[in-house]
Amino acid sequence: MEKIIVGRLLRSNTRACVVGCPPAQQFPAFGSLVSIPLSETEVVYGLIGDIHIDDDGLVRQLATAPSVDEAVIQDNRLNRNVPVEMTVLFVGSKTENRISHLLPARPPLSLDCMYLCSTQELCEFTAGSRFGYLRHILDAQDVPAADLLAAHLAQAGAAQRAQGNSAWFGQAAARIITQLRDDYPRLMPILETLADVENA
Amino acid sequence: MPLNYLELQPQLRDYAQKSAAAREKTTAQREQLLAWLNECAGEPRETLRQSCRAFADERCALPAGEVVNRFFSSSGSGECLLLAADGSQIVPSAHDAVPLALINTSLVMLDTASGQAPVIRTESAILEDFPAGVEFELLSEDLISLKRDVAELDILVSCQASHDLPVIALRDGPLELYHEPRQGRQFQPEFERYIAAMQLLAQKDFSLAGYIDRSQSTTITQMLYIFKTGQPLPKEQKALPDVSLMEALLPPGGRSAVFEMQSTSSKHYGETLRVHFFYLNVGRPEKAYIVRVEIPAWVAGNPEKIERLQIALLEQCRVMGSRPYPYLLHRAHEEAVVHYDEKEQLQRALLQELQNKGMDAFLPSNKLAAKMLQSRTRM
Repeated sequence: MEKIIVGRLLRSNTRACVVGCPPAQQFPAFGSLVSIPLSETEVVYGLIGDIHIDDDGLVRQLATAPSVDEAVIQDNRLNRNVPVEMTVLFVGSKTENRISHLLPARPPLSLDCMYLCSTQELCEFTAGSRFGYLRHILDAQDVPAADLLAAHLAQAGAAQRAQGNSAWFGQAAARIITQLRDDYPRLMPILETLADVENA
Repeated sequence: MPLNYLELQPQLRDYAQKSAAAREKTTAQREQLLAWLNECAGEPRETLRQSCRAFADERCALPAGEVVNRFFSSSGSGECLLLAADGSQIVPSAHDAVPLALINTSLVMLDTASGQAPVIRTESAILEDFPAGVEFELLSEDLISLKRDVAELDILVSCQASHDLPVIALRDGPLELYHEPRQGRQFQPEFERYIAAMQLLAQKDFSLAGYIDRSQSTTITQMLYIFKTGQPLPKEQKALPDVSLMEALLPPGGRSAVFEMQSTSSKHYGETLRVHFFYLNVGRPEKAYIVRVEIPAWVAGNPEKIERLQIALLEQCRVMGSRPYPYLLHRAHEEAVVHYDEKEQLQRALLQELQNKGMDAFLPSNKLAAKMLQSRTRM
């Protein structure tokens, strides 16, 4: 099946990038795993860590009007040059079919395409009880790390369960506890959000 | 420090004081003009027109048929295909590395009943007319503005209405080109193209209108002076703008009577294209906001078209909330406007092309280069 482009790269650095897509388009959910191909054999993986919708003077003025026509809403979503910006936190890469949880060797370039990973790709990336990539989330600045972890574990846990691996969520949680065992103030809110995921 | 604030402080106070005094005078003047307008309404239309025509060189309003002190409200909603065109330009500067003249025109098309996003088209054209060499032949700002006016009408003409809906074609600014026709070999053909484009719009039966925000026009005031004193207002005396008079006359949503425009250039437009206008209050009960709408004779002569235009303008202004202005015209402006960084980018690309042709001696003037020097920075 042909993959659908969900956005194009606006700016990037070694740890993260920002991708833009038209507001009218169905954009990936917070915590989704996405891929950005660098070449035929090299792919960068990342998690949607923040979704940002900017305003401008006209939008602010329209928002104060008593009612906004559907045509005006559509015009602002389809025609006006205000993309939805998504911050993508790099969590690994794939070279020659080998998945690595290290940061990519070089960041993607302007206007590179971003794709939403399928359930199969999500399982492939998170398989084998290797949770090294979780450190990128835990170390991330300027993103809500606890909620990002929760969103990712909920999605990956569901995908793994569907493949018959119901122990995956517990293993991931255990790995996070091990990693943060000496950092009680950070660990507690994360455990609370994970409990919310389990109860959901 | 760029400004001498100590020197400016008393000047600001003085300015405000004089403004307050002028406003009081304006109120009295408006009362008098309103009384004249009411008097004028009782006069036969032809008498008024003849008195004004005696001063054919004066910019002045001529009653077109409706009672001059009446206002006209509209009701209902008018389904139509609404077009808005706007243009912007890059004016070449002798100081730039490569003087560049460009016109960027946009057209925004909205089927008002569809609920769908408008369709947008933009046309960009570099103006090249430099037989003496790109560095020496600079197109004048006046000529570029005129070419932009023509391009705005051309893009409206190019619109193919795909269904039977009536079409309203809006542009920002007056329909009557100010001080036209300008003299000179370059101006006349452009003016003729402008008239030809208007004729095509008339043939297509598009309701053309020019929307003028914050008009300073004094044509109705001038008409009243001529009616009452038998003479136009002396040039050195400042007339009260028509919008100020209309603030007292028009309720929200109401339009004035339609007037014909008399000016030195009226004769160039012919019977079908002759410019007419009315004023429209697009404001709220507590805050009137009067705009001037210019229409050609083929629209002015059709009450149905005028009412549809009035409804469409009010609906468009309503979209913008507390600062009424036709949404679609604003969108056309947004699509057409050329920002400074875009101009720079285009100039760099042109410079590259010129270098590819082996022409590499283009530099900005030393004056511009000095102005572009980086300002002081902190370590």
